[in-house]
Amino acid sequence: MRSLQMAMTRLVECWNRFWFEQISPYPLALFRIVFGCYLLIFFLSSASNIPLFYSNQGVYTTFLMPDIAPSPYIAAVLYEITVLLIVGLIVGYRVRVVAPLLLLFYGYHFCLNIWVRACSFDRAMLMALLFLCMTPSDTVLSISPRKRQAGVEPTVSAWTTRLLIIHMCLFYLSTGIYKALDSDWQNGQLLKAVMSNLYSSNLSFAFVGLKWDPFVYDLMSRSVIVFELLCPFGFLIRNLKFETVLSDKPVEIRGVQYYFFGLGLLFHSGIAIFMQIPQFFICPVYYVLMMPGKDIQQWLTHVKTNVARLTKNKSATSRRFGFPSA
Amino acid sequence: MTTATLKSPAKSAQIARRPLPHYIGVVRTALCSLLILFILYGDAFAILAVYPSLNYSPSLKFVEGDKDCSIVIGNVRLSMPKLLYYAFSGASVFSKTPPWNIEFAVYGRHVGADPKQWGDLGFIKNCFPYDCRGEVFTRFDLPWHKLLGTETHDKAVKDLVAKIKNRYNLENPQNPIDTVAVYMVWWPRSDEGFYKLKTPANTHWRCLAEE
Repeated sequence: MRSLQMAMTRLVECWNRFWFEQISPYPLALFRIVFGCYLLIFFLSSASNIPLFYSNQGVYTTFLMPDIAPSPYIAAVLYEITVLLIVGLIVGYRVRVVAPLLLLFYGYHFCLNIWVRACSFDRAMLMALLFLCMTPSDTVLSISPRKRQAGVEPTVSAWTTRLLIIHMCLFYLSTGIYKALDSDWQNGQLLKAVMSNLYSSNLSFAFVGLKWDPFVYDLMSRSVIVFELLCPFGFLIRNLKFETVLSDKPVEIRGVQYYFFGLGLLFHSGIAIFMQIPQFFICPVYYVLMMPGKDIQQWLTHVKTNVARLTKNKSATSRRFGFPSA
Repeated sequence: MTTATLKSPAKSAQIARRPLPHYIGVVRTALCSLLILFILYGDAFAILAVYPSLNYSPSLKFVEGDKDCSIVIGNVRLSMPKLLYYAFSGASVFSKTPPWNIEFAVYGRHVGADPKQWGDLGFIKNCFPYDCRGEVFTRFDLPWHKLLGTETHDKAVKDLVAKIKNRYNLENPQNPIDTVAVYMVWWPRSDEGFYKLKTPANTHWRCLAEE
């Protein structure tokens, strides 16, 4: 009985240590910015059709909410408020208030017209927004950072960052497992059909029209499966060091995850170009969470230094030619 | 340090936050843990469901009811509301492609015209200005409404068609319509082009709704 109690205590300790330890706030803050930019682009893509998509004069289908679309004028105001809230999220202005408000406003637009086609990318988007409401993503990289103890390195609880990472990795893994087991994915036939169906772009039809050998589609199909099965693990590996029988020196590969990020970007670019579904770029947005805080800080310092150098050079050039400096 | 200095906004940001009472911390941790467990359960459920849905594992069974989905492993039954299951499940993306290409057409009868005279209004792009044909298909297919039952789905399609009619009359006040019908048009898919096999002989039509 006592050993059981000790085991339980140990389990709870491990659980708390894994989920609630303090980690660098930079990945979460950068995720807030990148996700906000993604959401802004995605949401602004409907800016020219506000009355059609979101007003009572439009053509839309609501889901899980009554048909309460307002007049075009009110719809435009609600849309603009949502855009402002997204901008607020990006710059980190009072995120504690802005994020829940954005969830409310975006949720309204989502239920009014977006949910009807809700794909996995829509759900990943909502999940990200929901978790940004529950986490202090504005501790750093924010115009109104949260209060923190002076002289102490800022940190955040790890649970939201880790949960979103695991969720995204399991999403890739589930799609990989499905394809690996699905008899239709065992050769390139299905991929070829997918590249010439309703969702396919003209470029995709042109690619299929080149009448490639079936081997090409087989190879593409296998590559997709291998990537989706490996990437959930590859994303999580920072450095890899191993010894071989061929050399006394251990082989070291640094930044393994970045290679997988690159492959992921390539994969989603393919989906955007051939399948006309750029919304799946929400997956690479999640990669930011997997980056080490130190890397982000270094990268930001590098950007800052370069910007400062550029500004200095510009003002020196302005002075030399007698232009007024900005 | 004076009180005035403490109250200044610049300094107040540096003040250490007072620690929360212990019980609030415990409750917060417990609530977060519950949420974590729920998300992990949903993700694990979605992965486990892949095996029986592809008839891959005889020891696992996937049962889809009206309102919930279950995975049965021997005597153990893991369940989840249907809508939540589909919210977690994304595995089957690009797993099927129909042997047909599908488009939609809006036909209407103008006010005061011969009741038998229906005309193609060419109005789909006005209502669904998407580059991707698949997006237009999804907006008529309404997969999420299907999950709630045929009645809900049919009503949603009818409402959508009514909105198309209102929109047309709004854009064409000089030449309004009193009846509208939306047709689904499909023909065999071809690798050589979207419209390659669209001929009158192998093109099929079905009226989705009339208003």
